[in-house]
Formats: sequence, structure tokens, C-alpha cells
Amino acid sequence: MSRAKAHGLCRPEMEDLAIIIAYRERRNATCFRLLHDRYASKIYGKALTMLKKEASAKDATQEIFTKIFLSLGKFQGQSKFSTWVYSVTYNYCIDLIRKEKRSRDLFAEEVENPPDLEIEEVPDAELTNMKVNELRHVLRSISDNDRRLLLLKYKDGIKIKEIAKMHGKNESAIKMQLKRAKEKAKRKHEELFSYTNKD
Amino acid sequence: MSSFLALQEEDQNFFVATYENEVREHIESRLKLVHFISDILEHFIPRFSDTLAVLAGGDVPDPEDAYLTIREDESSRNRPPLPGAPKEDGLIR
Repeated sequence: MSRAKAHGLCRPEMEDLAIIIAYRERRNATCFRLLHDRYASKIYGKALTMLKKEASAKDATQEIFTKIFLSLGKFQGQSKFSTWVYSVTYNYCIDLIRKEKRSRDLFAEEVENPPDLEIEEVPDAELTNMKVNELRHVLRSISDNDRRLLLLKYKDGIKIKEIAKMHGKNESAIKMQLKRAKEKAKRKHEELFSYTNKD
Repeated sequence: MSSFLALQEEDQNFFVATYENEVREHIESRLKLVHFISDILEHFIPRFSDTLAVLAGGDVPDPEDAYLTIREDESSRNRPPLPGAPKEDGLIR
């Protein structure tokens, strides 16, 4: 590793921090490519979770990666590089969402989640065992908020506590929203695919 | 495998197949431009500010005056201590 560091060379087996140090020393294109190829698709996946549209997720990936590389000097290696990358991604996407849909989301949430509605508890397995293409259809048919919550929880594996922090809400509010989102997703799945699944 | 994880894998594979090269080239060219501009500013702003100072009738400060170099430092004229020898204040640290 030290020889690679001294020459500013990067190899695929090197760890993130070693590649970052080498990149900072020489701005080597190989180092850039290694880090890019390691994280770009993951950033895209997370951005797609938050922003829904492929074009927006692609643009966000470009912006986030540029931001990350221009701030690499600030990264001291106190936390894992992946953790830092994901927090930059979420913060960027949340800022974008807040800018674009602040007023619409505020009203939509109240209309979509009336407070007195009785909600059935849907087991996780009902969602996680759906066929991938059916899940994709279901996610496209539910609201942005519900879709984002489900993806953050089940696709990205983010804890309720973290989701609550991201949205500036308390944990019980997020649990309730998640419960509603699961119920809506289940109903939508039955509506769309009950006929085809019976056959 | 959870259908959500399968969905994530599909999305990531789609990105690699469709956008990865385009996104990489875009970021790479943008970074090169930013680094090029910052290098130019880093090299030329000190000279440019010196030029402006001279045009305004002032003197360009000589960086040699502001900092002592090894030759100018009085202590550098003394012989270096021998390894293991006690220091001048008699304390062995």
C-alpha cells in the first residue's frame, strides 16, 4: 500500500482511504475511476429511491459525486467513506425534495393519511416476497411519500430512527406512516395483480 | 432474497449498463475544469496582487524578510549537539 501511495497509483484491491490519499496527492484518473465505479451505482440507487425519476437520479449522481470529489480534502477517515458518501447523498436528495415540493408534500400528507383511519398491520413478508416487476408497479402506483418510506426501510435498510431524523419527525410518526404505506402497497398489489395471481 | 433487494440490484445494473460511462466522463471533465481554474488562480493571484500593489505605488513585500531562514537564524551557527550528550540546561530528557 505504501509503495502505491508514494507513486500515486491505485489498484482495485486497495481500501477506500488509501485510494483517497493517493487521489489527493496526484489527482490520478485511475483512483477517480476506482472510487467512481465502486460508489456511483449505489448513489444512483439511493437517489432513485428518493427522487423517483431516473433522469433526476442520474443528475443527482453527477452532482453528488462532483461535490464529494471537491470536498475530499475534508474527509479525514474518522468514519467510513461509504457512510460519508451516503449521508451526502441523502442530504442532497432531501434538500432537492424540500426545494421542489415543500408545499405540495405538506398538504398531500394530510390528505393521504387521515388521522382516524383504522390500519391493518401488514407483515413485512407480504411486501418482500412480491415479484420484482409487480413490486415495481406497486411502488409506481402509490404516493411519493409512501414509496420513499418503503424503499428507505426495505431497500436501503435504514433504521426508523434515522428515517425520523432525515424527515425531522419523531419515530412513532414514522412508524405510523410506514404502517399506512405498507397497507396501501398491499391493497394496491391486490388491486393490480389479484386476478393474474389467481390464474 | 427480498424483492426490494432484487429491485435494488436491478436498478444498479441498469445504471452500470446505461449511464455509468456518461456520468463518469461528465464528472471527470467537470473536475478537470475546476482543478484547472483553481490551479490558475493559485499561481497567478499572488503575482497579480503584487502587480497591482506596484501599480498603486507600493513595494512588493519580500517574503525573505518576513521569515528567518536557517542561515539567518542565530542558533544555526552553533555546532549541533552530539548524540546522547546532555543539553545545555543540564536536563536529560
